[in-house]
Amino acid sequence: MAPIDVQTPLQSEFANDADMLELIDFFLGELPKRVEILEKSLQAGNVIEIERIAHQLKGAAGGYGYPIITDAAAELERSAKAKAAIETLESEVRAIAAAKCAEARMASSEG
Amino acid sequence: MSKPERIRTKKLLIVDDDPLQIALLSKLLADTEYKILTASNGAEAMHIVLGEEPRVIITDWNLPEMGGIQLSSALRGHEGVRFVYIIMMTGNSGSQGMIEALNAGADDFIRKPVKQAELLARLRVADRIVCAESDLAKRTREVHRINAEMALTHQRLNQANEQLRRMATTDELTGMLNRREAMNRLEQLWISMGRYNQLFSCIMIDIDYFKRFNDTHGHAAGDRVLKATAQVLRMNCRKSDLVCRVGGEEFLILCPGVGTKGAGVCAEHLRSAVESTAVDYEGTPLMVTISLGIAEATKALPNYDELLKHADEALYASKDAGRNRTTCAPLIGEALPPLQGPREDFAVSNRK
Repeated sequence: MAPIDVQTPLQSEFANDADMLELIDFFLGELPKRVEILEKSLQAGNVIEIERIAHQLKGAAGGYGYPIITDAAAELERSAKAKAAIETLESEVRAIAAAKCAEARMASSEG
Repeated sequence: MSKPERIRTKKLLIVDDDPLQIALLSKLLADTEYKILTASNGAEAMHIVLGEEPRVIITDWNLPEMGGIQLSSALRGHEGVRFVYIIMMTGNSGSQGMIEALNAGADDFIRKPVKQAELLARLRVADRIVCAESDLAKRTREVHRINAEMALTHQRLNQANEQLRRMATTDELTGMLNRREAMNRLEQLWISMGRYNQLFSCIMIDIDYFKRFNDTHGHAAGDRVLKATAQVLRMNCRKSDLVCRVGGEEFLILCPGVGTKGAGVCAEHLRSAVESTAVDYEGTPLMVTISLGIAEATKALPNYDELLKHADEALYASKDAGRNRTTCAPLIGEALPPLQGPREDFAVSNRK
């Protein structure tokens, strides 16, 4: 899997769909909270919680137009399920955390 | 500009513990004709299903406590739940989960992330199935209703038939078999005799001086006496005997399995029973007697009409000999032996 390019802001596939903007906003508000839970779980060594959150993120992100986050979350879920080394999980959580999702309205700033 | 809210009667329930998923699905389904309900766990979903009766459920596989699989099983196993179309949603790939979901009662399966076009296509399938199902349920209810109606009609028809049969075979005044039924039974006995050599006899009975009795006491009293006499005859013959009213004051008793001798004993018993019975009519005791004629069926007779004729002749012999007596028709070739000698001293209440 290609690593997430942390320099280029990610943009939702649906960023041009005016109907979706509010929803994308909601996702963007929710994402940091999920990442925070992932980081806390990582510190606490709670692999089961990591797997659960990763699984949810995998199912949701693609639907909001962020398939790359879905892929990254799938990777994390697989590793958590396989009880992979804590370093592996760490780097995978960081990858998700680093993904800078572009603000929904950026793409349609004129709209 | 917000569109005026349509009235949506069809309901769809989304069950997911992830608000991201609920928000997304609600949005994807916003333009459908469904009113969207949401639940975040299986127990809540069950509660909503029972209260709101949604037509379609889209449920996540992984739910806290009661998962999608258990929810499907519970919905299918629940008596009070109307048919609901279940679409199972999962983030896992592979067909094993799909098979498990379908086996548990799910109707369809969709993978996350959910694509709008696919979701709407699957929902159209759901709509088709739900329509077909509710149509079927309606027809089934209709069939049940018609069946119940038919069962009732059938029951009434049976009762009516039974009543008609009774009316067609019994005499209204006395409750005895009527003439038509008497002839049917006689024919059957006649056939059995020919085929299985089962003997039988018939006793022809006439109430003595009945016309005079009617003239003196009136028809109401006559009817009262007819009923009472019928009752006495019925009470004093054997269960296997068939007691019939074949004319105004004329009775016929068919005695299966009995020859002249047995029928003679029976006849005498009947005669004395009638003779000794006083019928109360408006405080007045009325008494009548009967004359009887016996004939035994034999293969020497050409038909049962001839048998009746013999019984009739014996009855007339009883009348000629003074009434209130029994006469037995001779078996073919024999002389006529009266069972009872003429009795000049019998009391006949209606004799002036």
